[in-house]
Amino acid sequence: MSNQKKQGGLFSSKKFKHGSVAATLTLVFIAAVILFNAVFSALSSKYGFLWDLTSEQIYGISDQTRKLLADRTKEVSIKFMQPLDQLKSQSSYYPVVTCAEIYAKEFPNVKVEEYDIITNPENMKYFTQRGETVSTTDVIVQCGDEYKIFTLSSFLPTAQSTGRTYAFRGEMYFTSAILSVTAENKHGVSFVTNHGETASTQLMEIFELCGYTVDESLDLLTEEVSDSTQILVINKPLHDFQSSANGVSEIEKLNEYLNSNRSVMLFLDPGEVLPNLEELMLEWGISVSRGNVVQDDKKSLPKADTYVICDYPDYSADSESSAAVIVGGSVANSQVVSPGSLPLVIEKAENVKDPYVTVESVLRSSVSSYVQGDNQTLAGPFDVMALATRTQYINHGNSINEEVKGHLLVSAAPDFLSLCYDSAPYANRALIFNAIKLMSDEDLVTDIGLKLVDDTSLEISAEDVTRYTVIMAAVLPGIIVIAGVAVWIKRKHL
Amino acid sequence: MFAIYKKELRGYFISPVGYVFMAVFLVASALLLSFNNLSQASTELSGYFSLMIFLFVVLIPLLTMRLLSEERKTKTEQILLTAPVSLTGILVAKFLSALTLFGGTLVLSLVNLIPLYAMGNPNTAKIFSLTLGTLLIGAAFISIGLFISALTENQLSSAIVSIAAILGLEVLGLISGSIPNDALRTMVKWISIFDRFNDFANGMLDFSALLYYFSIVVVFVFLSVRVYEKRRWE
Repeated sequence: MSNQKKQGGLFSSKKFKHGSVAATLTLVFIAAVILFNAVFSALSSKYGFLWDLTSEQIYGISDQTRKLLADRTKEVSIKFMQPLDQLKSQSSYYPVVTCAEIYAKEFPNVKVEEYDIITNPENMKYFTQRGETVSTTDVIVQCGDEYKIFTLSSFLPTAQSTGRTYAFRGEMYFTSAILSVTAENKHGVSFVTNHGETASTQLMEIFELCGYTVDESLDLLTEEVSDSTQILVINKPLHDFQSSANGVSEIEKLNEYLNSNRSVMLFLDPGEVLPNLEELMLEWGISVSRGNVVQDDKKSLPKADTYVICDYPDYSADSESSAAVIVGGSVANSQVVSPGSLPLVIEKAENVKDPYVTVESVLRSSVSSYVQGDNQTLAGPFDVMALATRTQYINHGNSINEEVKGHLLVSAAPDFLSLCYDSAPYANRALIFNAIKLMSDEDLVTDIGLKLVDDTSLEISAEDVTRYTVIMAAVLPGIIVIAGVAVWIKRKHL
Repeated sequence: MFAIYKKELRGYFISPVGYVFMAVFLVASALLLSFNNLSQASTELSGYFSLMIFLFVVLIPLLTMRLLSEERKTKTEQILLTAPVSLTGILVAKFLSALTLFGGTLVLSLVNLIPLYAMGNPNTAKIFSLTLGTLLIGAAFISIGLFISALTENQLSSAIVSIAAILGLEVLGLISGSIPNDALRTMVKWISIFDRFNDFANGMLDFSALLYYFSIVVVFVFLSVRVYEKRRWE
């Protein structure tokens, strides 16, 4: 009986009541703080309460991306092959994941997904069944059946000389991938081979960024040009195209292709004379002036007077000229270099065989340029890149005529594409982007450049390292210690 | 409250504690900077600040072990408890005095970055973000140390338990990535102080992380007040 009384007394004591109230209030307070943090974190994940402090705002999205993706409403998934928190804990992958999350916040049709393909490999069955090899360091941008696969490391290019990451390609890759996978029609580019052509990885990369499916090798002798091929690239052929070989004419195929209102990019090697190909060019109003390459002592790269810095023909701002599109935008504010080019000759309109073809100059050498002839020196300027455009109007059975265009872009600078790498200080790469934009039938192209990351290099010698270490470790701490000793001595004698 | 704050701050400089703390902090940060940046010829400071946080395992308990333990040991806490100042005011003053010494030393250590500006081009905004994150982590650890100091009258016990607690939190951050269970890993990462620092280290100022660190300070100062409230009324 007395024990029961004691127990009842314990539970009804002031100490217990006030203690339990205090404990409850404490728990409620802590729960409230946790809840507030959870809600704020959730809102932060959704609306991005983050402030990008990098110099180039590498995590951000530009107005150009917003404009390009504004009317793309198809559902797009950005898929990572590891849990996102594990990827974000690695400094090299953090920017890629963060950039993707910013796309998901900015565009309601874009979502970020994570898969652990180590524990659940069946997640990637869709891709492995299509012959793709997917690893934990890949990211896939997918819309329906269309997808693009990137490696995470490709987002952060490193300088060959230092091994340091110098840029971030997040916006470039994600915007181009979303444009590509949400495009209404498939776009293909084929690189013609079997004439000693040089493979251009830079140009292939640019086409992939523009959402094109790249056919790296097209042999016109044995293959037909696919209907989905919108652009043919002929890069530095060393042998001529066949006009007839066992009943097959490469030149006829090319002609037929060009007459179907599709486009060709042609980069010639000055050392090679290609009669059949040059005859086709002439039908389109462009020829090559054989002899020496264009030189310029005043407007060229240092110690390389054949690497001429080009002028742009004067097109007005509201010009509908196709060439104006190629040299517009960021190209107009920068410099294009044409290395080792032969002069091109643009035929007068009355001399062009096809009345639907107009020929324009795209790039010109400056007035100080010249070509060293056998007996004389010819003074510039010279055309070093030309564009022939064939315009036709197709009636689809109603009163509206659809304008369709095919283009032949010719450069006699064989190494033009070697200056198209993405950190090059020239506008050659931007010019190619503009050319692809001109030749494409929808807004595929993005020439959003890469964003430079902070330069973290430090110019310091080994002696300076030692000196500064000693100074830093000795001076300030020494002052503090001396002050402490002084105070101690003073207090001891008080 | 300001009088208590001044008294506590003066106390750090009357005893060797303040000088030892500052000297050790500055020497250690100088050596870290030399190892992480000068010898690697890099102005990237994420690693430097991340390593500095590991120093706090030893440095912060040095500051906090005497905050409340000493009052109990010397029986001067009765004076404190009967003073015409709220308990919250007293404890906040003690917290702020420790934070002032810590923050002041952290800012002083930034003088060591002068060579980086002389020979390179560091990102000042990122340095600001990293310093702020480090300051808040230090504040969080100080509040935890304050709470532990409130629980015991032995300074050594207070220091050891504080070291264990801070070390535990840091190790939690290191191993969180290895937890196989997704839900558990997400939960651990959410409470991990180190994982929240990741955004600062990558040049992003995360306001939810700032709120989180501030919340830790609020919770542990509150808990310290609760401990003293209980003691007052016993």
